[in-house]
Amino acid sequence: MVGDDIEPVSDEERLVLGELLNHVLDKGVVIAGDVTISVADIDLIRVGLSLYLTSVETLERSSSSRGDLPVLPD
Amino acid sequence: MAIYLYCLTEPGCEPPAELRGLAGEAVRVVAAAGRVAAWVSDLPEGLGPATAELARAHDRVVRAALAHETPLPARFGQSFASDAALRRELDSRTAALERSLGRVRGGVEMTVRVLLSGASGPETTGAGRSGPRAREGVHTQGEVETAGAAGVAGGAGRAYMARLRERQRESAELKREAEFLQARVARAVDGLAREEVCSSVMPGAHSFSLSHLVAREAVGEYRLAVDSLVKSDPSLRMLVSGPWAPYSFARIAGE
Repeated sequence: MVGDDIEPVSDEERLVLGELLNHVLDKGVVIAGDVTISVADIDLIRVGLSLYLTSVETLERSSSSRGDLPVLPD
Repeated sequence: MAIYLYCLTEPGCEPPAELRGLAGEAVRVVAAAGRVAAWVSDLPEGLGPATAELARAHDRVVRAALAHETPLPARFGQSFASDAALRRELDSRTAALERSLGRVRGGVEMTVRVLLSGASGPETTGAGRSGPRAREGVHTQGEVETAGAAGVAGGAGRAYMARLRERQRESAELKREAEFLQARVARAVDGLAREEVCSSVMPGAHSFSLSHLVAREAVGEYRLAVDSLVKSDPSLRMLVSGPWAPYSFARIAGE
């Protein structure tokens, strides 16, 4: 399972983490498939995606009420 | 000792001495044939399962390379038995890797997350949550078949078919909306993006992302372009992130 270190404070942080996982886990150059190690745990991807979804939903609600666009930090 | 791969660079791109990778290991360079080098660190045994912290550590190292020049980021989780084993893999595709490095040179990745309307929310599309991982292209209907087997086996044929048709209709609408929005963003950043990749997180997400390969000096202009698109139409819901290392453009040329 995934470690317990996923405790982001704000929705924005969760969004940043979700976007990071989305880039790092699923994209990037693959040099040799047969040596991929077990640190690429599928559960992490699921946790990342659900984190992402809940924070997108929350931001969606808050941004529609505020009427502005949240921009992720670099 | 096994080593862990972070990214590929052209020769002469040296990691800062204080840079630490997974498990606090120092990052070093493995030089390969041609104009290809790799940033790696030793990979201690017993690192345990994947954590967000490891993913962050991976990206931190890739970003350190990006601060210097644009690397070809490696996908998270690749290790090799030794420096020699990695070098063998790299040397078997030198020309393709050189082309891939050339393709991203001077660029960074900017990502626009586009939220689709009509979202019933992930709670009502539970099957989508653990659905297939992102693939290229806009996929909003991938879960339909998966849901099928269970429904038919349950014997509630007619209700199931109605539900299926409803989901297919909704999927088709979302797909059309996604294509329409993709085109609007493409027009807004026309001339600023060298390349574009579109990927959805998963079918139930009601959002998709557009990643653009943008010249470093055009990042500010890119942000302004997306910002003014959103300001021009209050119904648009988009989130910009970046600059990232070009993860979405890190394919090996010819593969």
